[in-house]
Amino acid sequence: MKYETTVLRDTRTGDICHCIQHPSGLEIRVMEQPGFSTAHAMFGTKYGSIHTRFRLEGDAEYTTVPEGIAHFLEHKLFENEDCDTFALFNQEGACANAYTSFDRTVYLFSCSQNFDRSLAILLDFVQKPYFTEATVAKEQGIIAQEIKMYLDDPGDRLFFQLLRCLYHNHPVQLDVAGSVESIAQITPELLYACYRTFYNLHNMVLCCAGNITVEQVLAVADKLLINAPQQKLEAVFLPEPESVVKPYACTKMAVGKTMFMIGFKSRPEEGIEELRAALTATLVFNVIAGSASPLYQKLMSEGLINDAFNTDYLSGDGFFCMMAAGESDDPQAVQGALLAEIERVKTEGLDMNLFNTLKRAAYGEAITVNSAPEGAVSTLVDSFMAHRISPFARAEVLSTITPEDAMQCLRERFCADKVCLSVIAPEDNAL
Amino acid sequence: MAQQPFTASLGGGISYTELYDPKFKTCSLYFRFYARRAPETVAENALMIDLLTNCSAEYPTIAALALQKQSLYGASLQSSRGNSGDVQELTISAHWINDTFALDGESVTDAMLHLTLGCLLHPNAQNGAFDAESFRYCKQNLLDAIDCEINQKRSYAMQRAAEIAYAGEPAACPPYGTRASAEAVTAESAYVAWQRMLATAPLEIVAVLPEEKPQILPALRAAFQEITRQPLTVHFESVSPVKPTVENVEEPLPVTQCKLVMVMKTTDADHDAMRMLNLLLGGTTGSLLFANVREKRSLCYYCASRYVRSKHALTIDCGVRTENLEETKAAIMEQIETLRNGDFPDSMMHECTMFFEHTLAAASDSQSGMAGWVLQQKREGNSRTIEETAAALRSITREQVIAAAKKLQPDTVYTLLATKSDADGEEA
Repeated sequence: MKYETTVLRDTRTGDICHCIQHPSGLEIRVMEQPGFSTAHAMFGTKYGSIHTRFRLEGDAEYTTVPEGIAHFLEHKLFENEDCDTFALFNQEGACANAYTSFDRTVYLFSCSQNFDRSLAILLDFVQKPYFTEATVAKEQGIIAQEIKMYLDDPGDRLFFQLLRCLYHNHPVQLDVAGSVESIAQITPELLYACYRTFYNLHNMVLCCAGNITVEQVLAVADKLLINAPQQKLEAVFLPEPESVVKPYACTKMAVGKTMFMIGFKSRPEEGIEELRAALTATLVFNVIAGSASPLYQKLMSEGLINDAFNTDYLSGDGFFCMMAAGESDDPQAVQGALLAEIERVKTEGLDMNLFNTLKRAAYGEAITVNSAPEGAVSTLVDSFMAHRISPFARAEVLSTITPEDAMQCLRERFCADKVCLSVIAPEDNAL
Repeated sequence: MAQQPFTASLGGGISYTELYDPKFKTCSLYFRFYARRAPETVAENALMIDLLTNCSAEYPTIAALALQKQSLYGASLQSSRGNSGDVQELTISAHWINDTFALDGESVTDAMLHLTLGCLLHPNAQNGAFDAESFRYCKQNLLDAIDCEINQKRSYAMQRAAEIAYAGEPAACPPYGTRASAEAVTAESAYVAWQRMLATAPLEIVAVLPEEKPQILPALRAAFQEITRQPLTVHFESVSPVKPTVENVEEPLPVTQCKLVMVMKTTDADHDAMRMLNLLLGGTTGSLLFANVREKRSLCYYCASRYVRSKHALTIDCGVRTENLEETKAAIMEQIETLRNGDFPDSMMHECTMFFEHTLAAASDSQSGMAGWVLQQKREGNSRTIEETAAALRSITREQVIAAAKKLQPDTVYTLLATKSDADGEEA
């Protein structure tokens, strides 16, 4: 078989990634890590909870599907016509699992023996959907319990409440698993429609890392992959205004202390620019509110935050936001102090010593992110999903971020008129 | 490949183990202290170990210490507070990139050794008390951690079940102590707890490195030689007596899903047989609980079991609808009965063995896994290799599993009872 292969090398660590364009249409990414005992594989599609409205080239109409259907499909794909796929992995000593997020569904396993056979199971079952009325009904009970579990998770509620404050129309605000009501609308026909649209090998990736070889992976892939037709897929989102929906929301739950999450909405990016924006904004946020910053020390001194305080980002197709979360008796005061510090730095400039120190720290993180198979395989998937960039782009991009980039990022991505505060407060009589 | 561990005694109950494996890009160093899980000291120990990793005499504030760690390529110094039965585990761990990746050829290892030992042995303290401001942060952290135990409903239910199952035993003490005991901790009492830990707590130090670092052992020897130690004896296994009648406790909470925890005990545990029993019952996606309670009956999203070796107990937990509680309890007991009757295929035992071998292999692929393996072996008083441990599980027979299952006795059933409907709790 003929493959188009690109070999990417991380000059800092010596890590090598083989990117192979398989004739079936699938992109395969492999990192050989011979010193390790385990191997990890992930077979993923660019299909997640945000893909609720779509059509293929030639379709007259858009198809709109119930919320949570990508996650439901993930559950159902594990059940084939003869048996539960978990049973097949168990027979080989492999640990299998899957996850669905906003923009992807990924099926995975790890093993320390019988890699080839487990990879064959993975490639086989993901390409063979089997949905019936009975199996769909059975799964509705299980997923309803998963949904209820998340309904009781204050961290999850806090996060989605923030997204509903930030986004008017973008489906990132929808719970990944949907609701008990939305999954009740799912039928085998809808599952097949979603499967045919998104589980096309041209829209998918196979990533492997650990104690395996490229040849091993390709030998199994050649046997199992079924050539997929090129198809043009169009997922559409309603136009999303730059503004936020509302600046504040609060829900009461059984929690021990008030939890908060502050979000800054800003312009989404794609590909390497998305990575650059995320790294720059993370660096900026750490300069302003990271554990080495004066603001963090001040908030701790005033008893406004505890060691649960952290910052993060969320980005993807049509969304980008920076977030700060923690526990506090006065979340409004934390938000006020954060906004004041942002304005001060916008006026007075960055602490250059802190900026350079944090850039050095980010370099250390970039060095170690692919150091074990579990992390490496996730990086391979992430980089494919981010418009097929190099898995080693992180350290390279970091090295080029300048203080000017950081200041521009601060001005554009941390705006007081695009900020929301999400709060989960304790129930009055929880205990 | 990993080399054979190098071990040394530093005297005074301090043991040092060093492992190398060139596949790693970072260095990890763990200090694990063991203390008795006494209600009067758990909170102050928990606060003290947190304080040690937030500042030191040399880096007196959180920001100063954080800045130094960031300058060392984002090195980390963390504390954790855990429990193993009647024993409290207090851990400080340091992680940093190998010197070969340093941009200016500096020794990150030397700097992190200095920083870590400084935090552990030279805290920000004066006149027999920790620095007041640092102490205040850490006390608030501890009080908030205790208050927020309820946030994670699954772990909260497991904790409440343990408190009931082991009532009257040290293992019933909450992981961070009670709120009242945390409120009573002072900068002085935390300082005394630090001195007590250094003087009396058995200490295991484990380094997992990409290459030999000859400076580590001498630095540790020099640092600890000044300390006079009289280590206490701690017991990692203490059988919890079975209650004469099963204790059923229900506690209502405004949540949408009930959490059910069932605790079973055995007085005569064959640990390898119990390990196999646990894997068969609820330790894998091929287990009886997963296959029958979740997949066949659709009663829950998760239903798993866990063997608590230190207490000779088996815990089963799941999240279920209120109306399915009794059916779920019955379904769980049916799976125990299946084990007692030996009504499971040989292939299941074989698959459990392969699963276990994989978890052992996976442990050798991470520094935390390798350190965890060393600490577990020491705690259990084993000198088995990974291969010998796997072989021990492979040798377990169906008859041993049946015998172990027959010795299991129900002890406690805890239910966190949901009182809320899905529609409650709308945003304001």
